[in-house]
Amino acid sequence: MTIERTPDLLPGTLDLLVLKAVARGPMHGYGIAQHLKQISDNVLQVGESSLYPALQRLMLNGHLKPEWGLSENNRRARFYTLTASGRKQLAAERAEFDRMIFAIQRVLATA
Amino acid sequence: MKLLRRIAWWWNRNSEARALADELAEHEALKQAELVRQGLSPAAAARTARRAMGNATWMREESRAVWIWPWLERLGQDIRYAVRSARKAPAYSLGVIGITALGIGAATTVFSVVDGVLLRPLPYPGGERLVYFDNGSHSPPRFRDWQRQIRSAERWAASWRESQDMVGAGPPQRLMTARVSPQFFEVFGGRPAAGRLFTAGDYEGDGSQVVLSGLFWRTRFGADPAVVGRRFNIGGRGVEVIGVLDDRFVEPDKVVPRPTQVWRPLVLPAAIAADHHYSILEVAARLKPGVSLAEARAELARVAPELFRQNPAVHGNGEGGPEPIVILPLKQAIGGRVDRPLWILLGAVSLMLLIACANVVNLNLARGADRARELAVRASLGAGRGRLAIQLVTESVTLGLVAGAAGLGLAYLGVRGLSALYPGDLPRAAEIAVDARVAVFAVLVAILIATAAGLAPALRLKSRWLNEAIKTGSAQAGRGRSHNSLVIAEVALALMLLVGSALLFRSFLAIVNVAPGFTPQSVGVANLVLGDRFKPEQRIAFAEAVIRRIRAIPGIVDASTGVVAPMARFGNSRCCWGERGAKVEDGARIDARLMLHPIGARYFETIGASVKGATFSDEATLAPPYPVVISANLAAKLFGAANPLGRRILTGTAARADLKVTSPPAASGDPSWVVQGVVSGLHLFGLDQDVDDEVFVPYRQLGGDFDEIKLLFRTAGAPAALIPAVRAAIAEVDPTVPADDIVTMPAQVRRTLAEPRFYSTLMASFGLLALILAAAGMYASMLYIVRQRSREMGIRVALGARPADIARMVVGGAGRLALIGLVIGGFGAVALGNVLRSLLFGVSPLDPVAFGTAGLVLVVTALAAAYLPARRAGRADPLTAIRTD
Repeated sequence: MTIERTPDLLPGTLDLLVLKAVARGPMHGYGIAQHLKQISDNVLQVGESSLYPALQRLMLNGHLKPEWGLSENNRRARFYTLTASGRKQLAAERAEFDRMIFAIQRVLATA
Repeated sequence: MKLLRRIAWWWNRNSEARALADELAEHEALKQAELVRQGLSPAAAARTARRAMGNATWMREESRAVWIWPWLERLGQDIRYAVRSARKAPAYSLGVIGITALGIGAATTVFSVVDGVLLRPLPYPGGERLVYFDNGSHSPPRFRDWQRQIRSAERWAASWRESQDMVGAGPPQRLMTARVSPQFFEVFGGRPAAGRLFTAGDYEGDGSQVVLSGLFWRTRFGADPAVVGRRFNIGGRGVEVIGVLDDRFVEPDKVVPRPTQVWRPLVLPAAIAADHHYSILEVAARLKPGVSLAEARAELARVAPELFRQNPAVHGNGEGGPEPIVILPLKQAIGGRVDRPLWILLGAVSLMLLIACANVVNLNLARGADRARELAVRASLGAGRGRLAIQLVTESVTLGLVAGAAGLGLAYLGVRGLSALYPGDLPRAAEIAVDARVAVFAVLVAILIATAAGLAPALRLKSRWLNEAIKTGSAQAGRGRSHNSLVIAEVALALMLLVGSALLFRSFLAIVNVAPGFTPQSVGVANLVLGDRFKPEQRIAFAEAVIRRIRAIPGIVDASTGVVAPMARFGNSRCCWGERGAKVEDGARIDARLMLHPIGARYFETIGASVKGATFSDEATLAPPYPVVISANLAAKLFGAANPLGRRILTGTAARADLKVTSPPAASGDPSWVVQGVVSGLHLFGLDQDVDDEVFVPYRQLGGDFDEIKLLFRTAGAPAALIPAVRAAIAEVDPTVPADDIVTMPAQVRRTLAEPRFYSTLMASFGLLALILAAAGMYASMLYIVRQRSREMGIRVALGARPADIARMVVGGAGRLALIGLVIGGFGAVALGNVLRSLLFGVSPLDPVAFGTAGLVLVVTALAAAYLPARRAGRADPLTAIRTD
């Protein structure tokens, strides 16, 4: 019997993924987790235990703005929207991420 | 921004927590719904969803930690815990807060004074570059040459202080005035509140423009702006007010009188401006930027001989050499007089603070032991030793900060009290304040003490100690060794303070017991300023007319006049004409600094001094050789054991007036004197002042060249009763002479004793407080030690020891500790005595009486503090004692 393991995220990428997900429009926490899972074909599974502290951190840094709305269940849920500074942060983190991946690929290619 | 969001979150922390909980619940519900959609049974879906959510508490804490730094939160917990546990032990908490607040209050009070008077930068532009030209006052030509030839200074300020009468604006009033040089207000940063200050033009005329001080303007003229342009008569001359000085201006002490009421331009009559006999100017300067004090001093060392070469009369020392030019930083010059006493007070109060600190450590140790079980339980539940230590220190610092705040409040009252009680004038008194600087000091001291006191029990948090504690409920380890050292420390510190106060008190008694050399009880004195409006002959005529009238008052036994009255202090400087060197006819010249005192007839009879030989009669000879009365010590110097009466003295050099003078003796040149009387042991300048080489001359010999005069009168009854009659006699002769300053001689004597009394009282109160604190500390320590050893005592009693034996053992132990403390404190006290030396009068710093008394008091205190706990120990019931464990 093989144990199915969810691969760990690359360190520091959670914020980037969350920002990217929210960039499409307001989303609640569950929505963000589902979105990441679906888009990545179940590869990226964000645990609730790291998602919510990350959301709090992004709010503290002013990248996300919370507002209350109704969920699919018709119940109160907190939706997150990207702020201007969040948009900037997303661009910056993305550029940094691309640079990093590119560099790693070059190293792997020459090996 | 981020901080604001943190604060906003903290503000809404409850609703934020609820929001997160709701959010998580919704997340779970959505997940569950999805699982049901995927075909799971509702129950299974609920289980899976719950499991996926993981540890909700952990997530809540993680989210919370995003917003609040964990250390801050822990600190908050510790403080809350500290407040709770402080409330649970109110006696302990109030004890700690009270003792610490008292110590900090006293230390902060003295620190505020030291800071304001000695440490704070001077409130003048470039204040740290201001220097004062020491060695007395200086003559106008000397000042002129300095300005021309000294390159280190960029700006100069000189002042001539005079008291003058103001006439023509209400009743005549005596004023302190200062004539100041052109750059004076530039150097000291004076600004006008109305009108203007002096400009170059004011120095070209006759100097009849005046500027009023802000205080004088308010008190005398009700802050009326129309005062600018008004004319008065000051010192016999018409002057015009051109401006008012800003109220915030602080007179530079040492350079000008404080308070100075009227400022005038320094315009001197041609004769005085060129005469090196008039040492009248106080001189200060601001060094050029970048010129250090050492560089300036080096330049002055070069310039002094050069100036002497150019003009020996002006720059000589009267003995054929150049007069050295001595500069001090102005701050040091101003604080100099009180520098040492203030530092000593700060030292004394610090010792007291240490004793208070020892007491707090003591209390904390005792409480730490009481809480041993609580701490042990916390440790066994997983609290690390470091965490417990932080907790203990936090508790201590929390109490310490409360005490610091209370201490600051006490200091606020203390400073007001101290300034009010300080006799005479404290330099820079206006700058003493309990402000941010002082608050920082108090808080730092509070934190320091509290940390030390909190660490003491924390250091004992060893695992063995905790194990024992959890087993027995109290900690027996250590057997109170730290308490022993605390007792020793308290005894040592208290001994130092007690010896210090005993020395100062003995010194004060020694001063009080000095025989003044006259009988002050029935003498009164009127201090008058005649000023420029009287010509010299008019002064003599005025004085003699008043004396005749005073002698006619019923109840007056005698009256006389003189330029100097006994016990009249002149700040630090003395008042009189001086002459350096004298020789006996055909004898060798002796090096003495003679003080010349012009006095009237029957002076010695009036003050009740005994003179061997003859005193002056009204018909004193006015042709050389002049009759003089000299002090016994001068007679011994000049004539040895031989009879001085009838012998002649020649003064060798020209009169050198380096003291506060308005003019040199008119008869300078080659006056020769005949000794017709010798007065012994007359302390003119204060009981603690040495008798100088004094020469009393009939004042008529000097042609009335003095502007201040004292009228002395001797009464049959109490002198105070006749003051109004004397005042009336003065007014009858000249109603324009202010006669408000008439005092009795006993009051005058008390005034000269005020400073030593102040210091010895303050030291005595510190000593007493230290003794009380030390006694309380020793009592608490002994109580604790006895309690710790109760089991041992019980066994001893069980084995047949009588209560008296036990008590003797405990008291003996305390005595041993006290003796060790006395030895250690003895060394400290010797060191302290040496520091005190300059404040002591007639008492050796190693005075055996002071040391003996202090030691005895402490031994008795220690034994008394041990006695009650010892008696309790002796009565211990062996069964209870052994059963304690």
